[in-house]
Amino acid sequence: MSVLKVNKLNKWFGGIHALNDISFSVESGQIIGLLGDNGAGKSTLLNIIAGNEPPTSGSITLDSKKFSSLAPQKLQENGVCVVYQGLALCDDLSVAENIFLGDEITSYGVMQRGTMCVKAQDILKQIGVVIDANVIVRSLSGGQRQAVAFARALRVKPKLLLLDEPTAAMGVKQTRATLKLIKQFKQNGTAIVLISHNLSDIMDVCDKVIILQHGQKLIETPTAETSVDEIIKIMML
Amino acid sequence: MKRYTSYLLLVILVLCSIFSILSDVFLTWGNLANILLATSIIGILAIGAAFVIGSAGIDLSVGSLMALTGVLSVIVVQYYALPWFLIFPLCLIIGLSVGAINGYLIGYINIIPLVVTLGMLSIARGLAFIFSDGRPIYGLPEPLLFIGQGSVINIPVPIIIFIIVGACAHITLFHTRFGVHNLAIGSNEKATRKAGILVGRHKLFLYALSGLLAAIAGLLFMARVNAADPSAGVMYELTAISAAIIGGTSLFGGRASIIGAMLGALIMGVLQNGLTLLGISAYYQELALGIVLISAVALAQWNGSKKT
Repeated sequence: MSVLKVNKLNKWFGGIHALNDISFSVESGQIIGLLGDNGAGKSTLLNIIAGNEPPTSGSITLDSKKFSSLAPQKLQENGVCVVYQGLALCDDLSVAENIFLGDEITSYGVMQRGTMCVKAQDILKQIGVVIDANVIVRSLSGGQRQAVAFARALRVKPKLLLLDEPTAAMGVKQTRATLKLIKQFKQNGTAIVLISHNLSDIMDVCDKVIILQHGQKLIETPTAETSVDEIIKIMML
Repeated sequence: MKRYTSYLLLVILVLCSIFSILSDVFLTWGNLANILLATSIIGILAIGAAFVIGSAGIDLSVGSLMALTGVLSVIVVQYYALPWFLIFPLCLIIGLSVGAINGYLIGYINIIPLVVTLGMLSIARGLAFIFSDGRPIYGLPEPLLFIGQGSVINIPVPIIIFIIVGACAHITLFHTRFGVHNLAIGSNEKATRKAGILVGRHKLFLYALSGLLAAIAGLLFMARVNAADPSAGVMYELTAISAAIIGGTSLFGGRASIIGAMLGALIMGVLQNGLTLLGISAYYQELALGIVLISAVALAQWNGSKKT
């Protein structure tokens, strides 16, 4: 059963047709890779699914519920988690506060920072990162910030995980741990949309790959039926 | 922030030492109580400023709101011959409501805080003058004066209220979701929105809180001077903002300190009082306050750059 169904999605920015009749679906336990050059429309597509921008036309069906646009808060309530390329972190808050932002653990209205720190540390350990959860995000390196952004999406068990370049600033070890974690989510039945420039990442974890170019879907194919060379060839067309 | 707070305490200690050497009166209980009394009103406004500036906003209407809440609540009670104690809830409700209007315009209509609160500064002051016919209303009920002039175990009531408000604000800012969301908005509003936080609603509550604190300050002022004065609180907003910034609240948002804002207000109170005792003219006092403000921001930036 499809967790996410995107139907004839269009997005215009002034005179630019950023997305042109995009349709696809993701099933439970399936990973779809979105590929394309800069400006192909990958991030626009993800932003629309994540509720940050309304589409010009078309609809999105999430768990059989059809809508044109949903607020980020509603999406979170419906089990949708997003890791943004732009990280979307609050530099002045601690790692734990960022991971739990919007879903803080409280007791009688008082935040339980200790519990949040312990849980944040556990989540970070899952992706092979050791950071003090009390530390302010501003003081972290690019890779550590990416890990925090990723960990934020993992604090709940999402039905749908939207990942925009989750390993972009990570080292080899962290990337490997993150890809392993993505596979774990797949095994647990999470539907995943992964945007990445890294073809080997896509081929490693994705079941299907969609190539976008100038807002249009060029091809949608199972990764088992294609190769890196073939994908590069299509993208170079 | 803890290190910065200790710098502030050090500054207060140094100022007190200098003034106590130069003036025999400075270190008397009566004078210290005077400093704390003056600080309590600005301090409460500074606490509100710390919240608002912590969210990368600004509220310039609080000084005028102090006047409007006092004048309007007294007039309503007198006009309708209501029991005197209703001045308290009326005053707070007016402050909360006007603050909520600011918050609605900022959070939902997306007008920038500077414009909204600058407009409200003018509207609130104008209304205070219109309702009072431009004259202070004297002869407030005796029990009302207690909160401005009374004391409990020798501690003036305004100081007790100031400390209670400060403690509540500190808990709210650092130990509740509201506080964390406030600093998150100040740090990165887009990210906070993406995290599913209703930023517009938060701003409505935030500016309502600022209005409520202005009303509390207005009540204290009114009870202290025994008059609902339409010209009360002129320029207090700038002093409060200065106190919050001296206290370590970042003008860019994301960082705020309630204890810092309270100490910032105290530094300004000590400085003004000490300079007055030394017979230094008000012009030079303004100069000194400006120098303290710039030095404090420079110190905070240096402190911040050392951390990152």
